[in-house]
Amino acid sequence: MRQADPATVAALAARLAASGERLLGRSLAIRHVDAGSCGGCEIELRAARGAAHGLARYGLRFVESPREADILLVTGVVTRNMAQALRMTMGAMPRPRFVVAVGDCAMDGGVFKGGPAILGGADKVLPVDLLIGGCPPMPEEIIEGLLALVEANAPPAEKPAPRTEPHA
Amino acid sequence: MNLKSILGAASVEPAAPFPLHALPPQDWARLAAEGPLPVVALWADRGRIYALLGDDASPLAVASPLVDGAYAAMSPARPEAAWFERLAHDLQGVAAIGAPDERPAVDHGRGGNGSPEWPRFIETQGEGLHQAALGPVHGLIGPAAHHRLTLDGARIARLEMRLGYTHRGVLGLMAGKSCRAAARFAARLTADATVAHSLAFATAAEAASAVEVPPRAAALRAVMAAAERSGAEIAILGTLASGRWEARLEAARERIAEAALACFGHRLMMDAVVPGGLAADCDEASLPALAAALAGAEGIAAAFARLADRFDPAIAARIQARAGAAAEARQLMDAVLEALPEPPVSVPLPMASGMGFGAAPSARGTIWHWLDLTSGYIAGVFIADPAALLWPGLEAEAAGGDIEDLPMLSASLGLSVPGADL
Repeated sequence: MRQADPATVAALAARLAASGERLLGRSLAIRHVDAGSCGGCEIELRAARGAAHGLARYGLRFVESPREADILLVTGVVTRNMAQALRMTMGAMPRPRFVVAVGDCAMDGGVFKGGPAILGGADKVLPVDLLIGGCPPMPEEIIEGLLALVEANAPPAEKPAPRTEPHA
Repeated sequence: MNLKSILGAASVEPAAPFPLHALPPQDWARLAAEGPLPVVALWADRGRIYALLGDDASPLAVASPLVDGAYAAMSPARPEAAWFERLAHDLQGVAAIGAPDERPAVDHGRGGNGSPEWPRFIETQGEGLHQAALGPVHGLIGPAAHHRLTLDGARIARLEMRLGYTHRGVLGLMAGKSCRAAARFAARLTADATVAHSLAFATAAEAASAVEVPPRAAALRAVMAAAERSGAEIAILGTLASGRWEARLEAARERIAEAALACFGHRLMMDAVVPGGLAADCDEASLPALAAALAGAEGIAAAFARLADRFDPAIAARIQARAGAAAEARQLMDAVLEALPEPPVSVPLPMASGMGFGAAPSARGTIWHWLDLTSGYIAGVFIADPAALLWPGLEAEAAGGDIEDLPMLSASLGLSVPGADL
């Protein structure tokens, strides 16, 4: 079973407490937005969701409608052409909502930093709660990052043991 | 009037591995108006329009000076050239005279002039027709693209793709850089073909610099290309499958990624192929696991292909072809691993000047890179991902079909959005 990095959890928990925002429950819905990605982060997101890594086991699932989503997961740089769609997607999400930037491009523009066709990382357009670096981050790194959000959000007393696969 | 007479009058400029035929504008116009050679790539650079024509094995490279920033369009006789002409307009400001499709490509009116403008779509005319919009945010984990569907009930009267959302200005960022520095952009054009793009870029750089890579680098490049190809083919089959088959194909792909990590230090082998050879040698002890992963992929792809007759005939044929490509990739890998040459895996790239073309096969066709180097720095660059040819094809193929079949049709082509958006 993957574990979140305790330091990241503590930092996130402090941040969430300060903002007064807390999501309901331990099952979180993710709306993914490609804001200008090469598709590498998407390959690893699909792998994280697949049977080998089993994102769903940790209570994390992808949804189509931003209106059902708790987490906005951004991949890629934010291009000029995607900035408005990214803002609109966040605007359609109910509060409380969290923004996770996945991959070096979403963190700060990555290798494309400073290019005229892009605005930069996701933080140029949205307030970002969690960064998961890597080019692309590996499926286990994505899961560990997202788990930090789940852990920081859920009060420790309520923490149930994660469900494991029978033969894992 | 034939090809021979046009080329006979052309001046031949040096380029590697084949020369460039420089044509006067009137000969370009004659060539544009007539077949039969299809377009492989078309781009503008510093006052000239360029095209690669014919087949991938022996293409013909032509160029012609622009006249008042314009050239004769290839797309009336070669509809597959439409996206390249639209790109050339948006990136270089050059006009294709006589082009039937003048929609913007990557310019959504959001440049520096502060006047955002939502894209315009072709108006719907006709009784009972309605439009449906899908994207750029859609699906669960998908690329940013907008489908504008004109529907007659469930029948697609017209599909209009609005691309350009992932336009990062890759070519502009590569210009002026050394090949070594620019290779990182080539590797990040479209990650489903990161090895293939790195390979095409490196091959073009090496051709322009008249350099040959060491035999071990060539062999390991072939290994990586085969691993990426096999993984890409079964990923495409996975998008066509569901339930147990989807899970089995996914698992086979995961095995390839894990073996690639062990061999080359990266699950997608990004940045492993560089101009002059490889960034680092492989972990030879892990190569048998990669070969086993490809054999597994071949097996599952072949098993899935036996169900192909459940699909529409056009898609079934693509499933068979993709299973065949997975088998070829495994055979290629086995052949290379039989006799792996000794190190080194790279040579330094001299600071040379010249023009080079590089090609690499991918799951959606052959990728081409063109480089014009001045003292080792990139003076001109173009990248032709076959996605640029396939998107106009999808618009044509989707028309008349059922809306329910569009996701399968689209998936079977193995399309890339960032590969077309540049």
